[in-house]
This record gives sequence, C-alpha cells and structure tokens, in this order.
Amino acid sequence: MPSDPVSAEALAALEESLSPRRLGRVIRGSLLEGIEARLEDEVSVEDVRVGRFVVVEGSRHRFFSTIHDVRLANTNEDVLLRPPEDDFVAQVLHGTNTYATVDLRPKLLLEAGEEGARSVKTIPPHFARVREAADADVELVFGSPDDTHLPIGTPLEMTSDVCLDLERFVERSNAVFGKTGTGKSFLTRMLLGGVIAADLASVLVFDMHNEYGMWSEDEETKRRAPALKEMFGQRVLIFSVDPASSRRRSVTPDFEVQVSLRDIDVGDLRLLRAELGLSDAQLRDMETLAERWGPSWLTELLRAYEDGTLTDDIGQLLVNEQSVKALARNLKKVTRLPFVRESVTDNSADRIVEALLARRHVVIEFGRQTTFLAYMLVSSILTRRIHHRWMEEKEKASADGRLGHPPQLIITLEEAHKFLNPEAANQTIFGTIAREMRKYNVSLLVVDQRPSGIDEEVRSQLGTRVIAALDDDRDQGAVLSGVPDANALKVLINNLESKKQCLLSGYAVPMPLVIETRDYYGFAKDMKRRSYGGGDENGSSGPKLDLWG
Amino acid sequence: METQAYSADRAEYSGERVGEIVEASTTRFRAVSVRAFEPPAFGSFVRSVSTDRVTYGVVSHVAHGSTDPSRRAIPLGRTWEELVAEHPQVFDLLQTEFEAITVAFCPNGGEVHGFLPPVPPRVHDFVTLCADHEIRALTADLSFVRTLGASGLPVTGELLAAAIRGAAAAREDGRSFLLRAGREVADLYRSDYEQACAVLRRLGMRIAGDDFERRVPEAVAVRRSSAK
Repeated sequence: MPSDPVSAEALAALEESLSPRRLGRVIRGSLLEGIEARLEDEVSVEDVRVGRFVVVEGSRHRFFSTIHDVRLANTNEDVLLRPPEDDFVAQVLHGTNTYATVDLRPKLLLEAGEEGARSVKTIPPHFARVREAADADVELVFGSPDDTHLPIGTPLEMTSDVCLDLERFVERSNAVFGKTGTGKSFLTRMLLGGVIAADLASVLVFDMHNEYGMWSEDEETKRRAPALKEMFGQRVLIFSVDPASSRRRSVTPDFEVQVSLRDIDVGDLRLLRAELGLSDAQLRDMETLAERWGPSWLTELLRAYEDGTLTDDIGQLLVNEQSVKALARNLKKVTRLPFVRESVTDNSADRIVEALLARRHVVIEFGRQTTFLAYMLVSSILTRRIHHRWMEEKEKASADGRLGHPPQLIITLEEAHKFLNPEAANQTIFGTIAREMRKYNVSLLVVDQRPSGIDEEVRSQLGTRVIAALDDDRDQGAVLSGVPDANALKVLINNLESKKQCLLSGYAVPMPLVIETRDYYGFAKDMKRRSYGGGDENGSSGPKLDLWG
Repeated sequence: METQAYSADRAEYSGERVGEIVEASTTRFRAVSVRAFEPPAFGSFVRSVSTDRVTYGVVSHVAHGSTDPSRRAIPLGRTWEELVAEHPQVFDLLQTEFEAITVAFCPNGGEVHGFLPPVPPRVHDFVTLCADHEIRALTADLSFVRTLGASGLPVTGELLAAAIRGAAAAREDGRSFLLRAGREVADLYRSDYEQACAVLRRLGMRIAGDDFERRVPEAVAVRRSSAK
C-alpha cells in the first residue's frame, strides 16, 4: 500500500486525467449486504463482468469494490408476462420498464487528503456514481511495483499491475489453490521467484512433479518454462531424490538426497499411516519400540525381522509378537525406496538446513519417486529437522539479541492435503508449523487442488490465498474459511476462468481482487534480468555472470 | 436544443397557410382549413404566428362537415367526378375543421419553450405548417410527449405515435430520436404496459414500411459506440 498522503488536489487532478467508463448510480445498499447500483442505460449488461474492479465516488470518499453480481430488474410485472415481440420495443423498454443492476461489495475507502486506503466503515450515499476503476486507482490501492511489491497480474480487462506485498506475504503461511490445469505451479513459481528476487526469505520446495528446479514443460504451449534454478542460478540448489531421473531430464542436481533409517521417526511414519497400512495398535507398538531401542529402533526391528530373531528380542517388551511382525512387514516398504539406506555417507538433511540458513534456496526433486510414500517420507524427515533447527537458532538468536535470524523460511508443499488433513494436522510436524511456527520464522506455502481435505484450523491460519478455478462446491467453501464475507467471494471463484485467472485474497493484498495472472515467460525473463544483471534480452538461457557461484 | 429566435416579420413564418383560427383556448385551438378536404395531417406540427409570439400545436382532430352546423350534408348518389362536373356549388357548403393541441411557443425575439404560452393565439390568426428546423427545436426536449399524453383525448396513443413519427422524420438521426421518444412514452405509461406497447408498435410501423429492420440495428450500433 502506498504510504504517501493523497491530497485533495492530487485526487482532483487524477480524476481529470482519467476517463473510465461510467457504469451507474448507487440506488440502495447496506454495509452488511453490499451496494446495489443501477446500470446506465447506455451500458450493456453483457459488457459488465463479475470480478471487475470498480470505484464508487461518494461525496468525500472513494470506495473500491469488485462487481459480485449482475442482475436484471423490472418496474412492471406485465413486461415479464408478455415480453415485447419486436426488438425496437424491447430496446425502448430498456431503461424504463426494464433495467439492470450490479451488486458491489466495497472493501476499501479512501478519504480525500488522507493517507492510504482504509477498510470500509460506511457506504456511499444514494446516487453516488459508479465507474470502472482506472489504472491510477489500481496503483493507489495496490501500490506500484518495486523490490518488495511483486506485480502478479492485472485486474480483469485492465492493464495496470496488481502488486502483492511480499514483506507481508512472507510473514504468514499462505496457499495457492486451484483444480488441476489452472496454472497453480506457475503461480507458485512466480510467488517464490518474487520472494527470492527480493531476498525476503529462504525457500524450500518439495517438488513432487519436478517443476520448480530447472524447467518444466508448459502443457499449453509445449514450451520449456524456466524454473527457479534457471532464473536464479546458484542461489538455488537442486537436491534430487532420484538423480538418474534428473539427469535423464538433463538437469544436473547439486546434491543427491539420501535418507538413513536412523533418521526416520515414529512421527514420520504416522504421517504415512495410510500409505503403509498401519493400524492404531501398530502405531502404539512403534512408539514402545522406539522408546526402548532409541533412534536405531527401525534398523534393529528390520534386522531382527530379517534374521528371524524378532521373537527373542521382543520377549521382554510388552508388545504383541504377531502385531510386531506385521508391523515389520509393513515397514519393509520403506526400505525398498532407493534413497533409503541403512547408513548414509552424506547427510543431505544437514546440507539442506545449512544452505537454507545461509539464505540459499532448495528445490527437492523427486524424479520418478512420485509415490506419496517417498514424497511424504522425505518431506516429513526434512521438515522435522528444519523445525528443530529453526527453533534452536531462534532461541539462540533471541538470547544474543540478533534480529532477523534465522532467516524467514517458506516451505512449499504440493498435495498439501496429504500432510494437513484433519488427522495428520494434529499429529505431524506440518500441522505444528502451520499453526505455530510463525514465531520461529517458518511458514508454509500450501499448494493444493483439494482444499477441503485440509484441516480447518490450518486453513484459518492462512495469511494470503491465491485461488484459481475450483469446481467442487466443498473446495470453494473451504478455501474461504476464515475470510470475512466468504459468500460474496465465492461468487468470484465460481466465475473464474479455468486458466490464467485467480482471486487474490488475504494479508498481502489490501482487498480481494480477481486478476488475470501475469505472463509467466515475461516474469521469468524479468527475474533472469534482475539476477544476472541486464543483457539477457534475447531470452538466451544460462547466466552470463555468475555472482553466487 | 436547436434554437431559432422568432421575429414576426421573418419570411420563413410565411409557410403554407393551411387554416384560420376560429376558436382558441389555453390548451388548444380550432381552425378551418383554407380549402375543404385539405387539412394538415393528423399529428403534424402547425403554428400560428401573431405579433407577440408563435404558438405551436399538434393537429389532434380533423373533421369534414357542413359550413352551417345546423344543416348536415345529405347523400347525393354521385361520384366525386360527377359532383365536380354537375354540382360544384355543393363544395361551397362544405368545410374542413381541425383542432390542434398547443405544445410550445416562441415569444417574439426569444427561443422555443416546450410549455404553454401565457395567452392562446387569436381568432382569425392564420395557421401554417412548421418547417423541419422548428419541429426539431420544439421536440428536442420531448416535453410534447407529456403534453399530448395529458390531453385526455380518446386517441391519445395514436396522436403520440403520429407526432413522434413526424418529429423523427424531421431529423437525420430519426432512429435515435424514436428510441428517445419511445422511452418517454414508456415512462408516461409506466403503469400501463399494454398502452405503452400499443404506442410503441405504432412508432415502429411507419418505419417497417421502408427500412425499419435495417435502421434499428444501426441505431443499436450507434448507441454502443457512443457508450464506449
């Protein structure tokens, strides 16, 4: 939001310089239920689109709103009973017997001479004029692009940039929602790219579908869309769970991810409960074993199971032998994952944590290991480690009085409902982060197509939501939980195009707004130019000057 | 609004003389046609020029009859041609009367006002047909629609339709005028949808004869481009 005071003269000058289309006049309204405005007769109802950013000029205030509904109205019931036969009569009756109205929900108001826009506390008077917003209005509300204001798109049918306040964005957990094929990962990459370019946080991405590292295939244009590493060079490290697959896609990972059996915790396995088919009794058994055998419980359990010595070992434990055998059988699935070793030479978890603490960014590619088992196991182990370390660092930092340490961290989770469903959210590390880790400078960026699968408490903690098209009614309802005026916003979600449109709502934007998302390739080019310093006009890939090598 | 200052001696007010006033009141004037059976058209705009002002009216009623109100014409069983040839004196006993509803006036040296003049025109003033530019000026604010609508005549709808068609014909952008005036009519009959439609259909009818179908889409196009 701009912080300069806006003088009355400046407003007047602004007004003069613009000639946006007049839409209508306010005819009724309330703060609770919104404003109804009658459309001018000259404005065709077909030209008015839901989601359009509009301005209502009160006598002292300017109200900013979006169009939530368009409605046909009539003054005389007879018209509806016998609609006019010929076009001429229909045209004449339009504006006298029939007319159209639009429903508005003002969200912000700007008082002449005041500093910045505030949330609405009143409504415009009768017959206040409603007009389409002009580019200057967008700038007034959303600020102009700079280092910490990321232009992310334009309002519907407009050309001026809508900016996301990145400083506010990184402060809280956020989400990108949308059904498949709506460009969620492009949006997410833009958000992360903006954060990286502004150097506001370290970014960790669990990249289940290999889209965030070097490049991804654009399903629509069949082009290679550059991803984070291509945009930011050595500031971004690629860790691969499946290095062979990475190489086949001609991506050279910086490191390979290996997981030692010792690193696997009961909590990780609890998250994988459905994938491993574990019962409640088996979960309890695991806890008993872990308590008894310490960190190497899993190694010992599996070894004993294979050696056939399990019976002797558990003799003294108060667990059921058959149940433990079944448990071991189930847990064998974990050892079959190629990146899980009994012992590892290179501790990837530590490496990743150090990189993130050094304000670098990490993308973990899963290659062909796209089972939820692999994805969730790796994410859980790493996140737990990070959680632990960040708390430690934060405590140390506050003891030393060091501000801004550890760096803000954004953990990006795809298919987040797997981690944050109501059952998992209460027991696993991800729920804890979503709920409490803001204090420790860690936040989540949740990317998901089934928001209704995410725990309600977690959803209500989300700061900024970027919502692309969603079909399912429950999902539409779920994305807006905890948002004021959710029903009105639901209409906007219902009207999103399935591509390149999204609703921005929450902490990092002054008011909810539907936008056409920015062209990704233009964004990528811009980012490359910023990180490699000019000269990359012709879109050639690769750094000319590596500043972070 | 197109304005035209009035001056009694101006040549254009000497237009074709169609009648002479025989009775006048605040709201209407009655005149006898110069020649029997040659009245101004129903719904046409006429004026009466006196020394102080021009009074404008819309022809609302035309009647042919005997010059002597106590003696009605009787059937003669002859064709029109036979009458002209054999009994031309019959025509001297017949006359055409018409009535006009006053809709506007123009004081000497002033502009056209779309409301009633302070005093009616005088008896024996002549009635002449309006020129197109006058029609445009006196119908520009559409006040005549309300005036005619309040006339209380049984044929008010017909009268409105005829007057509006005439006013549209005096304009190059007749179609946009029809739309505007049509809206005024719809507004006038807001509570009587059937009546409004009846008048509106009559507005369309004249144009349906020539190029209504072609002109209305054009009118729509004009509105859209001006809305942008």
